[in-house]
Amino acid sequence: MKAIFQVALGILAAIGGFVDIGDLVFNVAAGAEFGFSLLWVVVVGVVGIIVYSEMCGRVAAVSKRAVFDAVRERLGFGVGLVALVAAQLVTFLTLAAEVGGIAIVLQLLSNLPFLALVPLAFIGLLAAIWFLEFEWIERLFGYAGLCLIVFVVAAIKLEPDWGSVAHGFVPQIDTGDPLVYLYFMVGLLGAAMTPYEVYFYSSGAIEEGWTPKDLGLNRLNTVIGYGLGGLLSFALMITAGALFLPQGIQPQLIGTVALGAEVPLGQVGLLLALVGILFAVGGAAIDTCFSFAYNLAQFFGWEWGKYRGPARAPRFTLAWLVLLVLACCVIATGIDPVMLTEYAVIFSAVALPLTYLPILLVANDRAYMREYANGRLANVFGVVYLVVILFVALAAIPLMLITNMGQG
Amino acid sequence: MSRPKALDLALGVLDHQLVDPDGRRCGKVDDLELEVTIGEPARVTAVLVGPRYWHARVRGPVGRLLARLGGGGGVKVAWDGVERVTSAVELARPASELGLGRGDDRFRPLIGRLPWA
Amino acid sequence: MRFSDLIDRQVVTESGEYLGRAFDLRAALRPGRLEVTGIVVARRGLLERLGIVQLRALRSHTRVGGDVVPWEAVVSVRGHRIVVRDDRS
Repeated sequence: MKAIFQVALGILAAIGGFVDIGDLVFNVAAGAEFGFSLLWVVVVGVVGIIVYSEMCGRVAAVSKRAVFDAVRERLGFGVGLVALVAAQLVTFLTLAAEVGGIAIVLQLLSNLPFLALVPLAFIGLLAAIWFLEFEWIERLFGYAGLCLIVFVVAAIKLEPDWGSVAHGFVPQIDTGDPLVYLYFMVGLLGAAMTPYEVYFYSSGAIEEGWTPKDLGLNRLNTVIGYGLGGLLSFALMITAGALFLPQGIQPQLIGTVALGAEVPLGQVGLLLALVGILFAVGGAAIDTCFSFAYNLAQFFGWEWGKYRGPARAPRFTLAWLVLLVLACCVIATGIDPVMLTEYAVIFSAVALPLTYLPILLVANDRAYMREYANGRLANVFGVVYLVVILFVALAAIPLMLITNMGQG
Repeated sequence: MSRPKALDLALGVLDHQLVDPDGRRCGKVDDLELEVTIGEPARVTAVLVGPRYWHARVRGPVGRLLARLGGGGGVKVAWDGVERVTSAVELARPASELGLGRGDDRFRPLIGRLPWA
Repeated sequence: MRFSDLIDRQVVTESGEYLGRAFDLRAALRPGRLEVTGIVVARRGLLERLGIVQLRALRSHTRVGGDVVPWEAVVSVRGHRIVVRDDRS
């Protein structure tokens, strides 16, 4: 009974932690632009992250190799280094965007000047990482992130045309503005399958000491945790589609995102939305920060792991510390976090194949995986998503340029 | 006599993690030293670890730059220092004895000075 | 000599027939010794050359999909090529 409880708690934390700044920005923007007609893309993205994470978790549990171990072992030093540089750049951009998001929400909550809140965000994140154990970090940020369920309530309260919503789950293309539609497709997929999530999940599995006995847990975490997390993304898009599209509002500010909860639910809705965003993005920032350090240490063979303690893994510790400082500096320059988020998501989409392919290869390697290598089902999904990811990677930057970041 | 295990070097040894008997991660296999004798099987005589050996993996100016960025050090671990090859290359002696993991050693005092480390 | 020196070299027979590139080295792991028993040769396509698609490995630590030239057949490793006997078995 206790085990089931533990698993359920873990899944709850995963749900609350599903949404990050990229999901917030793109799901809301997509809803405001195209209403419900991109909902099916979110489904594709959620299934994609489930497939990718499940493989990474399985690879980690069976072969004790994390993503960048696999990248280096499969792609070699030269090509692997290209993958590393791409991944790290994208991770850095993402972290800066998240820190910016945190500062903005703090500003909305406190009315203090933005520039004072950047150091506050830094200290808050640093304190959480330094003093809390992994489990507690995931719990704290994950459960508080569940406040985002307010958007589910809001979506229902806004009484959208449920017929249209249902129709949104059918694959389609908006023929009125196909290029912008495709741009949002790319953005939504990139936001749902953000690379750092997998780096973190994979390394976390090794930190937790997963063995083949945990493969069931791996599947539960990914399928239910991310599956239900996807509901939050739907809620964001539906709320935006019901509220912003009819008014012609294109949310450029995170505050406007929170409006999606305030209009139907009042001050309580607004507060829950802001708290939810704060902790969901905060948790994401911590995950992103560690991902950077994990990738670097795994590629070069350094000692790594939060559980090892700072003294046993000095370069690893230094890596995430330095990155956090740099990200805060970037945000302190006053750059628009929403714009930064869009770039981070688009470039994430471009970098995705480089780390996806080695995992797919390792997941098939019986020397690493023994009897736990990909079965036919896993490979069908795995290869289908490889094609999807390649497509998205190639289309991302051209679409970004042609549509001027979705402005059309 | 047990049959020797067949192993492909780039696939199964190169770029794999080095781990010492205490479970400490201490670098990756950056290259291998071979003793080549025509007519006899060539032997792997050492594992090469360190930025000095990156230049051979990434040719040209990029490789040289990388080696310099990494500090240019490197360690040769004789093959008889290897205990076992699984998904990692497990060493027979602690990293410190073999001169590995010095990068982490170098930064440890800095981290140690941070409060509550 | 280093592994990175041998890899990627063209493998040709004494009579000049081009067999492909040295993709990997097949070795035998014995207690305390790791002996090279063969050269994994393959004609590399662009993807293999970029390292993006390694020849698929299905069995323990060894590849399938390439030819293995026994090390005994090697005649010379000087220069930029590996020369092997015509009658490699």
